[in-house]
Amino acid sequence: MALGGFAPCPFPLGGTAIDGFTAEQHARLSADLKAAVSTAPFAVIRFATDNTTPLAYIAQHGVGVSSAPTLTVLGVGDIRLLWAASYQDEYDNAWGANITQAVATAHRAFGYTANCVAVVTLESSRQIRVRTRNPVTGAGDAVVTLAVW
Amino acid sequence: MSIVPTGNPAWVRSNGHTAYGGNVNKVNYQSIGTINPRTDLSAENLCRIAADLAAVARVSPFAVMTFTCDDTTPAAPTINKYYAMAGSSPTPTRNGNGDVTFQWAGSYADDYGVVANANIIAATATVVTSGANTYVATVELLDANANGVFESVRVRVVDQAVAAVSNAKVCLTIWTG
Repeated sequence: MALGGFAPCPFPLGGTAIDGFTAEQHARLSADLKAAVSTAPFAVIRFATDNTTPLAYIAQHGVGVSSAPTLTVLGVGDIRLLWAASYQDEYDNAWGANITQAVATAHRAFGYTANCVAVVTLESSRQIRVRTRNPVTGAGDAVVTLAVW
Repeated sequence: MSIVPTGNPAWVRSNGHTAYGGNVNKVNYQSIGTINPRTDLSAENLCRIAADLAAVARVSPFAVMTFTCDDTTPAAPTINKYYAMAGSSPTPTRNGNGDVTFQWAGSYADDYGVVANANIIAATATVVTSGANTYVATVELLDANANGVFESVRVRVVDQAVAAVSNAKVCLTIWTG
């Protein structure tokens, strides 16, 4: 059985549901965590295509605008996002950003063009270009949610 | 319930690895590592779990759903599938053809009864209706209660002429934070 504070790391798997952590529970945690890691986005960002400051940013490497990629406005309804070459986890293990997939949706927001399509171009492993356009009136700025893997 | 977990529910996005037992200075007792990997969980194992779980908890969607508009009856849209970090499916409302709103509770409790706001910060919508037509789905974050928490998402579906599309089927994903 587990011994709580009397069994520091490496701690033995076992015990009860109340005071232990069984091999079966650990196996389930490991499998589910691996599954979630396999499909979780690297980052999700909400931004306006006419502004270089994101509205919201959550990512595996951090949360908040200070962690966000660099945004560069290229024109009306046209913006580029550049992530850092590598990021570190909390234990200083660095890994390179390698973006392979992305999905984007335009929002309807006050002051912005309605009914826009958001088109994503993967320009490199860490750079994405997003263009927004109304199918009838053409290019227009919009708020966008972008998720990348 | 006799325990309150460390940190906040995952959809708040505030948990670091330490909330899961990680620590950058964590060590195995007396620096003696795992004797039997089949029965022991080492400090290194635990820290990797903590860091990876913190990473995916930051970015996992609060909810993923597929719904179908009912503009024939007309009636509120049907939620075909719903997966979420907590709670039951949101309340659907039909505003017009290809135009629906979903309202979540605004706050939810995790499995241990810890309650936290579910403030929607991002959303994507993709039309999955079969056929050759190209449709556009847009989202709008709404604060119906005017309490500073976005708890609703309005989805509109239009065609290439920006005309409302009836009876569309849409996949909607939302993130909170």
